[in-house]
Amino acid sequence: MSRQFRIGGGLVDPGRIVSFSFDGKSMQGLHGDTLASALLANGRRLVARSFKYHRPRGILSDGSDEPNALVELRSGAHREPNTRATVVELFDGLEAYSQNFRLSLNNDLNAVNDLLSPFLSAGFYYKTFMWPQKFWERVYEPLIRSTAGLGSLSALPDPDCYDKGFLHCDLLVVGGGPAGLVVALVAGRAGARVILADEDYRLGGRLNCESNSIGDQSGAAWAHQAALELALMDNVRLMPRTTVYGCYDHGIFGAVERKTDHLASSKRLPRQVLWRIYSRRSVICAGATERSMAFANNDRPGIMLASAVRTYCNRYGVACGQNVAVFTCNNSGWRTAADLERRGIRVAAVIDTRAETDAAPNVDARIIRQGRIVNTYGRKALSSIRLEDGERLPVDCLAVSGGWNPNLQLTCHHRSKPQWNAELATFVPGDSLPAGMAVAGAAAGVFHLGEILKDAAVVASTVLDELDLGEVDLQLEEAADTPYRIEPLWHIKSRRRAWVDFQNDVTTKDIEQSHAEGMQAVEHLKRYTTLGMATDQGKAGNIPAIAIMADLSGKSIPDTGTTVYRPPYTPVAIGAFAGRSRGPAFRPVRKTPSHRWAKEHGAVFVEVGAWLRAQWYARPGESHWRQSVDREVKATRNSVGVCDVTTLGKIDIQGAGSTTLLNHVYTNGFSKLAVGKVRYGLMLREDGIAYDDGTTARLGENHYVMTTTTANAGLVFRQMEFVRQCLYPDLDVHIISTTDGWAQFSVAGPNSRRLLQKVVDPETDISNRRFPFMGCAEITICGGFPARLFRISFSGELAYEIAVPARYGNSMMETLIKAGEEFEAVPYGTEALGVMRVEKGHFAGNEMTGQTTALNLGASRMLSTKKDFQGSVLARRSHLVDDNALGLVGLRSRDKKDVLRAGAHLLRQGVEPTLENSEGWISSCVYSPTFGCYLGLGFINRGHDRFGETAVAVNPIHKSEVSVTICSPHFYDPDGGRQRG
Amino acid sequence: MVELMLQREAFLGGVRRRFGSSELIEVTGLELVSVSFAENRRDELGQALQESEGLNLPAPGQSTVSSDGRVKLFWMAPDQLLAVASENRSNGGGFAAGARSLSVEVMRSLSRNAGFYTDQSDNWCALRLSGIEVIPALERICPLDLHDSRFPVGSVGRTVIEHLHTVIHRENGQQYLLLSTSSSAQSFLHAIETSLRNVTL
Repeated sequence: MSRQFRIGGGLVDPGRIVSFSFDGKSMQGLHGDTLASALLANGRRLVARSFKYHRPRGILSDGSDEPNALVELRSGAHREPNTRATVVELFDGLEAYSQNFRLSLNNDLNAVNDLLSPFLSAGFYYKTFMWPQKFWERVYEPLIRSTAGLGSLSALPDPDCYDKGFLHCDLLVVGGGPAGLVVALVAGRAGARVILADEDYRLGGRLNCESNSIGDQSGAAWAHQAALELALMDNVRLMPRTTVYGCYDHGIFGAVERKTDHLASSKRLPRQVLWRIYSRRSVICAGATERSMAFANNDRPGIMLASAVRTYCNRYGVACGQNVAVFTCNNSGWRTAADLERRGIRVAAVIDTRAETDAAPNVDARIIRQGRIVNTYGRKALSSIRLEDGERLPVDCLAVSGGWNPNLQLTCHHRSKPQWNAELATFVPGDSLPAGMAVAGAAAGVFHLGEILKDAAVVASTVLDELDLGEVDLQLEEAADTPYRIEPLWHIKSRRRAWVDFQNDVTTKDIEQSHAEGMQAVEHLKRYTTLGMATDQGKAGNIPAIAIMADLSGKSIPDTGTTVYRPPYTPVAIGAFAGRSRGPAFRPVRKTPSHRWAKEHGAVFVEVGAWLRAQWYARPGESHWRQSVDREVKATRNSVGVCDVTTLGKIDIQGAGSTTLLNHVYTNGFSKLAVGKVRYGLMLREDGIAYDDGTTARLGENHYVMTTTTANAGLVFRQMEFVRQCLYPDLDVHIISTTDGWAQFSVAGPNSRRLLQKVVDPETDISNRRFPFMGCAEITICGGFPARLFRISFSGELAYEIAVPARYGNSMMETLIKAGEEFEAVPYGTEALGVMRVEKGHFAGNEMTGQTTALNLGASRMLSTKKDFQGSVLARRSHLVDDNALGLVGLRSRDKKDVLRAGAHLLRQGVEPTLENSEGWISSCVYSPTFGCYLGLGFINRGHDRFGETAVAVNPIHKSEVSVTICSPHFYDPDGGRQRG
Repeated sequence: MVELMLQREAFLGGVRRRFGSSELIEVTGLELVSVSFAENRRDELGQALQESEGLNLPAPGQSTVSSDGRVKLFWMAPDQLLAVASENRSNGGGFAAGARSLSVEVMRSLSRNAGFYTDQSDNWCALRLSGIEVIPALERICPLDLHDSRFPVGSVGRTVIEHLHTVIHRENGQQYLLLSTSSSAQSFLHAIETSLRNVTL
């Protein structure tokens, strides 16, 4: 710290020295400093390079609107680029680095761009890089990309963690300045649940930055006391370091809270939390942001906003210069001069653009009325300014006030248009605010402190009325302030460049060029010049740019309008948006009841929606998945295999109207299904397309259990709820999911009955005669454990599905395999399941694509003609019942050595392999160990009439053409003798 | 002959962990039966439960408790309740012993068969959270407003936590019972533990 610049006082703690580094150089600041104030205290002027011209830049502002002082923080994987030094709290060990230069900050080779500026005006790259055309991708684009952007990423995974959360309140107060504090006090005392969020770490807003007073206290002391009172209220939640960045529907706001950014280490706690705040009412008290004026070379380090110079003096005890000039078009600039003089800092002149001022000129400095600055000097730090009359004033800091813009961004997130206020020479919030929102204080265009306090109290009182909460009489004290009175000066014409948007290097010349080239609408101006983009989103530059464009086009400023403000208000780290949803926690995982057993027995798992299912069980010595799958298929077909099929959806259906519900959702009839029997059912969507299939068991007169496919479990349940609640509201039927409640296992193969006879309690006879194909029963097993047994088969073998309460699922798998030891029972996974279903000719998800009909699937016989059902009308659309429709067929390679691949097109023999000649495709394909060759299911035009024909399966991706025979899809046991045996 | 038995397993292995001054435990052996009102028999069912167990039908978002405190009824949907029996310690939550304090048969009998009943015990894993970190932790994942004024003791809410269907019940001042689907129990536990860790200094 330099004594020259650290003048003492303010709200920093002189007893707590904080060490930090900038570009590797060790420096010291005080607890309570921002990085910007600490850099200024150390006499640093040059802190950054501008975006396009690489002009030397210093600190311009004191808040989140900062366009210049962008730095990289921390190092290694923790590095974070493009951080505004003005909002970074200083902590011991902070590492900060300047960015956007080639070689060094002091000697930036890219500063040559500044000399080339005549060739780099707005839109230059649209015009310059037109030819030769092929250079664009190879030369120009890589070159432009290498120079674009500001800071650089570490390119390492972010080691910090982030979180999100949900908050609820009666009233959200955005901004903890004087207005926000008053609103929160009034609402808090009335008992409302209040959240007060402010992006600063210290509540008070401008009260901490000004030398004004409320009653007999300083503004900062009043704010401190108000914050203390609020902190003691149970119904008020204070959220400093929290930026409300977006306003969404129904009173929902997005906010990011910086939890540990001000600490050297987050200690594994989330660095930031992204909150979704549900509010009944909101009051925007976001204050206002000062803007600059456009004059020649107005971007030099040392040229700052007048309010920022005041802030550094009053809040941080830092002098931004030793010899300061103030340049203003309104009364607020005078406060800077007065405050600096009071702290003993020389003010060389107050240059007021107005002829008359009603501000008490209680300053000793020289006063220049109707003054104009026509140029500035000093490459890396301001050294002097030139006035219109040619006088050159040596100064090291110029404090500029071009007026104030209310921070109304949040009011516009529902497309409310700001309104022009000529007296204030700025836009104020429009009339059509988001529902439940009010605006108070400077954000509403009230700039006098006393009026701000009163306005906030009135707004708070209105909100309390709307919330049906009682009145609170807040005794407001008088607050001294000067009237604002502005005579805006947007632009001092010059041959030299005058910056409007500091962050994107947009000058008045660029706006003139944009106007000359027809880009006059503000949205065009923005895209053509990049005005208002990047981290500051034009907080300082937009309004002057609009005014200059209005001037050029001869329109009024309100007719010129503003660009649309959208979230986020300030930059939000992508990590904060991601929150904890990264890595394995990205989405939840569902595990089958036998997951642990499967893992212990070599299972390789596959994701099936959210489920993890055993795909196959690799045994020692099996090095290829086909070895495992072929073995599992053979063992099941030859003896018995067990597969966890818990993932299929299970819906418990009860009530007198159950059959009616089933008859509605299934295409086939269920009225005649006997108790103790299972029936296969097909479902269509309302548009007549096949949707889902499964079996439904009738456990009692008014009690069914439906199974759905794994993928559609939730969708089918939802559709059934819709049918129940909306189409049959008077039907006595109740449904509830039991998918997770029952662990269900397929036991398939010729020895399945013998295996189950060892498990099922003797009271239940499962002989073929007493428990035939498609039978079901609620039984007990292993000496009294409840179970459900269904005799159904997906594999084509004699097979059962047995279900037990999920808590016994893992043990059940173990028990079944143990009981099957004498039959060499094997567990099998989804691959073997798939092989056997293709061998048997069952269609599944590959065939029910959402585009295929019952006719396509060869299931048109299942469309009952005796009843109405879901999709029955639209399934009869002419093009869905066309004789030439696609039909499901089996496909077998003519040469057993040939490999079939799913996705291949089916063509007639001898035709050109073009898309036009494609007649269908292979939807599922497996190697069948049972048949010793590849088998496929697929669709081809008039498939059911073409059994025996030869076709060609063309796969352009794998460059294969295979001759195949079209046949029935039922390769294995087409008569069904095995499953009925 | 091989003795074939089934062993019960808790979905989360009976996890019990502390975070700061708060505790997370898996409640095992919880017995849950869904009760739906049969057409026009709602009052009859309510009267039967009142007479047999001193149980009133809960209002939406609420729960009631039997006079002996053993059974609670959660409101779940306009025509659906969830009967929740306190942990049955006698048989460790086993089915086989036939000693269940609550089952489809028990509920059918208690309510004079005026509804429809489905066992839900294995559809859900149950976590009990207690302590001062619980509300800050739930704020991170639970979209519901759990403020005293909106979610007083006895309240029941249904919501989605980290994509997972969840039933949340406030048992007492700082104690909550959370039910979530059992197949995704480990993901649910991870979500809860992460939240507790993230708010525990």
